[in-house]
Amino acid sequence: MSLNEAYEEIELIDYFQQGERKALHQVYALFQRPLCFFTEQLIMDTMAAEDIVSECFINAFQRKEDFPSLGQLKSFLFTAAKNAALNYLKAQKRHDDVHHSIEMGAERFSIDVENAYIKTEVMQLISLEIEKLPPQCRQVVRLSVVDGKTAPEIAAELQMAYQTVLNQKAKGVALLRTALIKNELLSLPMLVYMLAILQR
Amino acid sequence: MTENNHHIAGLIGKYLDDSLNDEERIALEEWVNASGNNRDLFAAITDRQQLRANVKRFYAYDTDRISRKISAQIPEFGMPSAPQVHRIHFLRKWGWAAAAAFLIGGSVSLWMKHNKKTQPAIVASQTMNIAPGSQGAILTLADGREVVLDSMASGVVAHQSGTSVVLSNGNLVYDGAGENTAEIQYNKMTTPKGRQFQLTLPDGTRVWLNAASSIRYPITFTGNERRVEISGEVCFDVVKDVDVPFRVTINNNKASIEVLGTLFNVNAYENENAIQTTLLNGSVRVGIPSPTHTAGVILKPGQQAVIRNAIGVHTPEEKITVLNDPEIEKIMAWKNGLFNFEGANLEEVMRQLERWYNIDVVYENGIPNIQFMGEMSRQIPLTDLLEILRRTEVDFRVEGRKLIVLNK
Repeated sequence: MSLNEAYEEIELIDYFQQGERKALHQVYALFQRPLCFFTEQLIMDTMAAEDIVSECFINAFQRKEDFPSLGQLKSFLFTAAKNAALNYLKAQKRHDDVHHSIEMGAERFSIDVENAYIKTEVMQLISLEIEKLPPQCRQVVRLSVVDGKTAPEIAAELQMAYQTVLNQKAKGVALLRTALIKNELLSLPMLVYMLAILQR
Repeated sequence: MTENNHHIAGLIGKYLDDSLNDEERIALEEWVNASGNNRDLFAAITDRQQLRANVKRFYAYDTDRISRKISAQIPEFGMPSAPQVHRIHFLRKWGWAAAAAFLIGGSVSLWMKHNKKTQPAIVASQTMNIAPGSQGAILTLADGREVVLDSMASGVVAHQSGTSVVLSNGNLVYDGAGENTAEIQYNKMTTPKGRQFQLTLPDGTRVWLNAASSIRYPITFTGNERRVEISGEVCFDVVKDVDVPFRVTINNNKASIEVLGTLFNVNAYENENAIQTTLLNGSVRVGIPSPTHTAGVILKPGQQAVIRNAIGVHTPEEKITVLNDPEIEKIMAWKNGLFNFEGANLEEVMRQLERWYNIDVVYENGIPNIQFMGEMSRQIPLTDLLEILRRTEVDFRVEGRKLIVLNK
């Protein structure tokens, strides 16, 4: 296996338990954004969410042997994030000196958790599609969709010819379209963005 | 966080992708129709404007900062690849400060500049316990109805033209695409004295309102700009969209800010001596609209534009200045639950207390010339705060909601 290739799932958890750096980084890369997004949905504070997520990873990395599968690791990370978010909200409510029925609050929180989780899963599906694109193509797509940059700006940033940027965008659209048809993978939102960009 | 939710997310993904088979379509429809919550959630996830904002959000996290924190605790994680230019997280830093301040409660972190002998203050006046401000606001709907958002209970607050207004954990959010009505419908959020509030605008932009402030905005952004009007003190975290610039009009067009995507704070209280716009991240253009042209400056992160409320002969160009080293911690303190009185004089401090404790301040025998330092939690009752301030050359009397300042 080359250094750049990602581990397959079973291999990944194996190396993860051994504390191998590449495996730790791969697990981190896999869950960092979904966990941030999930936590932020619950507490509505970006930087506090990032802090919670770093704590969740530290906890998981301190007990690597406890996770025989990637599913269990994921479940631990999200549960830890949920609990930390609840504690954060409790502290904040105490802070704000607001009193209301604990039962009602708890019920609402569990609905919020379910909602945030579904939303996060959808976001992860979309991002996995973006990550699957070839590197240069992905970079162009990310700069245009995520950072809202125009083709000339991207050309300047990546030191690419303007035409190359347009070509990569077209390639991104074509690849996503193929993925859609052949593999029934998610790509319509991407197509929507890409088409909007190409019409600019 | 069950298998079923994972399955539902997959179906929503396929719906977005238009690749559901009949069986899956029925399963998704059943789930959507099973509850109002599911319907709202589905509408929120599939709304294009929100989806776009969410994708941006998803990629905007400071993952370098997270991995640095992990590295500090987990040696085998090592250092992440090439450290990038470090964004400065004032907010974060002071968020912790706020937590710390909260933990130590009202205990002293406030000093006199001239550390005179402090003698225990004799509290002669009876003082009713005035509570600190809390979360809350008044939402004025397009049809003029007013909704008081004073409790933290979550739920749908109102429906207007295809949009639901939802209160969730003290944050107000707009869900749904909205109908294309001929006329743009506006909502207005107003915080009275003693209340602060946060909301998320229809484009995903975050807004924090300090006490005695307001923001007016359309329930759906249409056209080629996102325009809002504000008064008082407001902090913005604007979702970037180069095609649709974000414009802030201040105090009936006394000043305006044009934004691409950024984090900034505006202090435009009419009883302060200037409109201060402080940029933390991104880029904004601050201007004074005039009949002939708009005078303005472009700010870099860490800079502040000051527009003096001076009346008279000044041209717009003369009224606007740029500060290169504003005291960011002091400016952002309110958003982090703190008072920061660093270098503030008594009048400045009192104006802040008026807004936060919903009181009126009266000076009985002149305004003592005192300068303060330090910071403290905003979550303490007024009496405790006055106790600390009494250690200076000043005394107070409280009558109802009136605070009388006495020169010792």
